[in-house]
Amino acid sequence: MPYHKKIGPGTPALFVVLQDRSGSTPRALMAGMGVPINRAIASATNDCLRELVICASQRDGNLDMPLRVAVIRYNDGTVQPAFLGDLKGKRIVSIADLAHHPAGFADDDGIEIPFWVDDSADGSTPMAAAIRFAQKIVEEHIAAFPDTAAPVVVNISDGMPTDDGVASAAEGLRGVNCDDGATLLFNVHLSDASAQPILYPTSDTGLPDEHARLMFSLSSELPESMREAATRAGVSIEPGARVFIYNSDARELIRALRFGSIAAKAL
Amino acid sequence: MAEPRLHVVSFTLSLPCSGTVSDDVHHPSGLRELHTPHFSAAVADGLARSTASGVWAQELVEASVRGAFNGRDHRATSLGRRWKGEVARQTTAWYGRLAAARGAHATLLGVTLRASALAKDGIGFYTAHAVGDCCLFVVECGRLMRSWPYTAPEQLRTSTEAISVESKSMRSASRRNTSGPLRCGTALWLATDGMAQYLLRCVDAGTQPWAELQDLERRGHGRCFESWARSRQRSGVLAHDDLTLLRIHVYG
Repeated sequence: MPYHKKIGPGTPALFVVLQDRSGSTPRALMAGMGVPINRAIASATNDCLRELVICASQRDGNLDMPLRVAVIRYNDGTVQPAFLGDLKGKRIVSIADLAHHPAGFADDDGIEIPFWVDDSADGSTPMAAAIRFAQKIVEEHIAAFPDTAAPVVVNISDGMPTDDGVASAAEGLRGVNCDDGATLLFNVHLSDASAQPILYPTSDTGLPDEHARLMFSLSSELPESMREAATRAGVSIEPGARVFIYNSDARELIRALRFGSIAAKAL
Repeated sequence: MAEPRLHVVSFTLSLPCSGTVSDDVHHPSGLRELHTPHFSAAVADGLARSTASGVWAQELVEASVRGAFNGRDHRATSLGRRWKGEVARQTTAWYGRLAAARGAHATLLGVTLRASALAKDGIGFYTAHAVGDCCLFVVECGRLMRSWPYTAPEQLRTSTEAISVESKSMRSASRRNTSGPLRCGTALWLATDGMAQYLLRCVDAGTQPWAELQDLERRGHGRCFESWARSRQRSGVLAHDDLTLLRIHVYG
């Protein structure tokens, strides 16, 4: 049965974040939040990584969970690993790497909050190249770990690619299969167009512009097992919904990750 | 006059979700047989979305079996303090500190059996308390007499009740209570959500799985249960979840 493997000994998993770090992101404020989109993308990424470490550490009381994590930035014609600090230049890291090597800590009302990536952004938006880069990572992972849970790729962007072939690149990535199912491509669209969040739509009707419709079209359909997990978490989602979130904050993304992707398998 | 006693046999089947440590907690463990005026047992499920949930579930089970939730004073504050101390003791790393700041949630089902010479319709009584999606099954002569607090599998899918470490009182944690008679041969089955959903589906479909499950106990003390559970998980009829099933049989 697809998408039922839970991460654990003998069952590794791969979680990839693609970050749009283009020059358009600091110029726009995320509707309803008033935060520059580049900052929202950095926050969402850091929040996800932090959540994975916390949950993994709590799950088994150690950091041995075989979850492999990649964070890839794309901008200015390049696609490259996004980690800062000790992890700089690394394509894939472990949960223990994340736990032991944050790039730094930010003070939040007296609480030290770790971060691994920053919000620097400029240049073009090579989204298709980034998705193809992710496909290579996924293929290498599945070849090395045939018993893996289905890989999850989360693309966080303002939805304005500047290279061609995004649709075919996404189709190629979604077509990479392992025993547990096809790779899930999850899109998080942060925009200044409309403040109304849209979560897991079944069609592009009601999306505010062509950028949102593009991001929707790139997204995988939410597997039934994950829809059931969402229901158990108190989130009602229609059959046929896409793993697509429009203009929601990092909290919703984390909640989605818990039932809809790697965390549901891992945590 | 001698104090009335119950002849009680209990057995627990428990299985973590594949390859992980279980957030389910139970008491007692394994096989127990005793003659006693009263007997307490409990199962709890630390919610995966909460932090250090297994530690919290353990606190609740221990409190339940020592009778902390039986009286009129249902304070849970001291349990929350104990939990925070335990989590803080386990780690001083940043992820431990953040986890402890978030709290934890767990579901709980506790039962107490008491022998009574005054019982008109049997040999004693049971009382039970529950918060969340654990379920009690009362079985006599191989047939389900009662499931509580749920009677249909879909009710479990939508249950979001749980006890938080921040709960000041068990009263405010949606606690439900019930009681019933014990007869010679009555079996109480305590299940966390994964097994409870399976059992309710069986009953819905008109089958009585109790004899089969008891046979698993006899044949392998858990090893047969794992094989049985994994095959059903692969075929999709049993949830990929931590599984706990605690049977208490009363023989007189």
